[in-house]
Amino acid sequence: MAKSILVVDDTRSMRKMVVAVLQGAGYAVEEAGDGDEALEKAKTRVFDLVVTDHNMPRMDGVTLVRSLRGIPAYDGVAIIVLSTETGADLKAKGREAGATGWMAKPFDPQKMLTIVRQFLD
Amino acid sequence: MSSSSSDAGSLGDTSDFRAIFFEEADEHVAAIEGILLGLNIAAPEAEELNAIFRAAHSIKGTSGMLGFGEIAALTHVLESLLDDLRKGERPLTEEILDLMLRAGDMVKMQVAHRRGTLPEAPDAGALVNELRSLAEQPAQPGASPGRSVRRFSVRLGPLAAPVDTAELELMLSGLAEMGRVTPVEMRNAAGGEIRFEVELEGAEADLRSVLALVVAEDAIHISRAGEPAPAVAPPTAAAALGDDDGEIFVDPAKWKARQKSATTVADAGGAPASPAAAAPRAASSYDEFVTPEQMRAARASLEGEAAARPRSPGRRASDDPTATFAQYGRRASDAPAGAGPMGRRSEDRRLPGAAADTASIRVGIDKVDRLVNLVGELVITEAMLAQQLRVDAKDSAYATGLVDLGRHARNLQEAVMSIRMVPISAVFTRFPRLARELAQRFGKEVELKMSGETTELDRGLIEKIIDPLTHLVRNSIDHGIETAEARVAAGKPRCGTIVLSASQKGGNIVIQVQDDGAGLDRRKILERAAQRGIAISPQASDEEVWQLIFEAGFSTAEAVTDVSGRGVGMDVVRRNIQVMGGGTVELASKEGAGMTVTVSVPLTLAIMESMSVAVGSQIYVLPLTAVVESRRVEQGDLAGVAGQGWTLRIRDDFLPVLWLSELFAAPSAAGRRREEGVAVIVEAEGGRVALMVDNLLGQQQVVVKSLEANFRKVPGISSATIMGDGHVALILDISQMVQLAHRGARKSAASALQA
Repeated sequence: MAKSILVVDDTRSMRKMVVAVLQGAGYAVEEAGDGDEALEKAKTRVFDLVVTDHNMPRMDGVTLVRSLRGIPAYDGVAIIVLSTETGADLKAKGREAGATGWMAKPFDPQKMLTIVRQFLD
Repeated sequence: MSSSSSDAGSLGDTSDFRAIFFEEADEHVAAIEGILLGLNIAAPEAEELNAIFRAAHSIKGTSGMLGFGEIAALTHVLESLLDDLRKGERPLTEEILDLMLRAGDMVKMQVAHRRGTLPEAPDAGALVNELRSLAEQPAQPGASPGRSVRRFSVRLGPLAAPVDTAELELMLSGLAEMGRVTPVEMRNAAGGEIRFEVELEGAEADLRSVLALVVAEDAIHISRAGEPAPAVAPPTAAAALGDDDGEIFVDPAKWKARQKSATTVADAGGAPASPAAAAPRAASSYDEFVTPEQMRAARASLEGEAAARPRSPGRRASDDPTATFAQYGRRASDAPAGAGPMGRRSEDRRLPGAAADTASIRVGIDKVDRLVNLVGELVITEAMLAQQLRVDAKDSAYATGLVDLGRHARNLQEAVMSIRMVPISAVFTRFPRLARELAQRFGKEVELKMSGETTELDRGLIEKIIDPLTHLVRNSIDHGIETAEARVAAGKPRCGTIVLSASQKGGNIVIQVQDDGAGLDRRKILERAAQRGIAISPQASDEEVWQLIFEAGFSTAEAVTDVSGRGVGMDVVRRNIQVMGGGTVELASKEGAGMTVTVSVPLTLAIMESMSVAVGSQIYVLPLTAVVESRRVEQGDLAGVAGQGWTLRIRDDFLPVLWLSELFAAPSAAGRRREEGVAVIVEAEGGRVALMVDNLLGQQQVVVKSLEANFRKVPGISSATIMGDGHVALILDISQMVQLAHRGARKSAASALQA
């Protein structure tokens, strides 16, 4: 069965691009438009990996990471933050919250797959 | 999991993403503008600044991905400025506000260019420089150290093939907008190298991503200018952090803290990051906090744990093959909150700031229009059945059922029509900006108040109402509101007020533009009318005098000064409103106290209140809004006027007469005399006209169908509808009727229409 990935981004175009790259590589991808939706989806099933934007309305990516880490089933799930913001303080916060990695936007599709595959294959 | 798809690792065809991005960008820019104009400069709300920041940020992110470097560059500086603002490191000023508004406009133009609707690429250079120099100015000395500008030496090559010159130039100009570019060597040929130095405040990753738009990644070599090329970083997870951001060099304390915590993570996982595994991940655009190995170890231990754990009660019901529907039903209602995953989820839903009520989906307008059409057909079919049944089986159970069907069909129609409805705020939001700019330009003080923004209007009308309303607001500011000095002298508050309001009245939307300016000058309008040879009694009521400014040509350049310019384009405004399903414009004015223009348009153009008339065997449909009155005409009521055709005397007016039977070559009922029948008096821009028909059939709502889309454009006909009996009936274009009649060219018109 294809490994499942949850992609969280409030910007539809960006989300669709991430989804296209991951789907193109054969993963089963679900989308969420914000942190709330992501949490809801994460509670109905355990994804094999999560890619989330950071700067989103209501709940930012780092907060989402923290909330996901609060779900016991997500202890072993890689969560990668994908953001145009690459400030050191923020990344440190992301790591403290439990993010597995931090990737810069705009992203190189090939590089994203390389990273994702390391966690899933 | 290996990729089988051929386009794995690339975005492939980006046209879909572009389409989404263009739509999104428009929305973001509109949102930015809306919020900017509503900002309290002295004390902007943090959430508002955050929202603008996010909008700029979203545009930047996607445009970077799609290779729209110029948009990314502009939104990047905009974002930096906004970041300072939202962090409170820089106070909001009028200057910044203006600059940000202009940046929004520029993004709009850049998007239009990329979309292909704007042929020439807009030049954002000056604006970007302005924004950047503003962002670089320390706002509060000592508050923040400012952004550090870094210098990079870039070497692209050896090139496998020459780079597309246009793309190269676009990329370089994109970089020039982000910083300063100094070319060193430009050998754009196979095997050649392009070398330049660039100074910018972004991270190396930003630079790399821009370069990657035109050159293969492995041909990109970046080093910090004036510094030795960085030693090959040891391939550890911690070192990967170093590449990305220069901040590490700026703040060694943080660097150490991070290194320490990275080690802690590795220790906790029990498996040190293996250099071989980490090597490919030491890319500049990715930081790894936990290695895949650590992750796998954690997962394995977790899965073992999960297997040992009993299943949650909520899960068990569905897993039990003997579970009945009753159990399923009970589980949902009886389970105490938090007992199972379902219960817990509903608890967790109440996260801070959760806004479930904003859920919406985006649907193409063509889909909605198809739905509107289908429902229209349904309503028509129902009407046909009902009509048949009235004849055949008046009291049967079918009749009762049909009444219900009719009601449901109409409810459905209403619901479907409501999808097309858009709040008028979509139009209103542009006016604060317009008012602000016009007030500045004319040196006036104006406050714009708005109400009823949530009033809904058909999407098709929204676009059409923008121009007339813009005209009215502009008139009010330009010619209605006096200068602050004049206002004070007249005992009024310095600042003029314009109230823009919308409300729904029956099937119409009423929009008012009200100002407390000088109002219309009766004397000047009369003077102007005299100059133009328009006959009007000096005793005419104010209402009649105001009507003069709707006269075509009354508004010339001269009139702008002569009649305090009130007539500017009012004829055009009225015409534009009238084509919207027979909308109307009314004026009320009081000298010295201001003026109110009231615009009334139907809620939608898809459904119309109509009057149907019979001419022989044909049925024609008139928009009810155009019908003034109807009266039976006897022999002798009509009078022939030499050279002008026939006229009908209604009180003091002589109206031109048109016979629909002649116009459309549809013979009247047999034996009917030409001078007898029913005259329907209709009104459109340009006046009234009497349409001669055989009979009035009644009033009803009709679903308007485009004739052009289904057949072709026919002169004198605006559209068509399907009547209850299934026949197609044509809807008359009243303005064209009026024009025809007033041209007094019935014969030639009739032949033209028949041709």
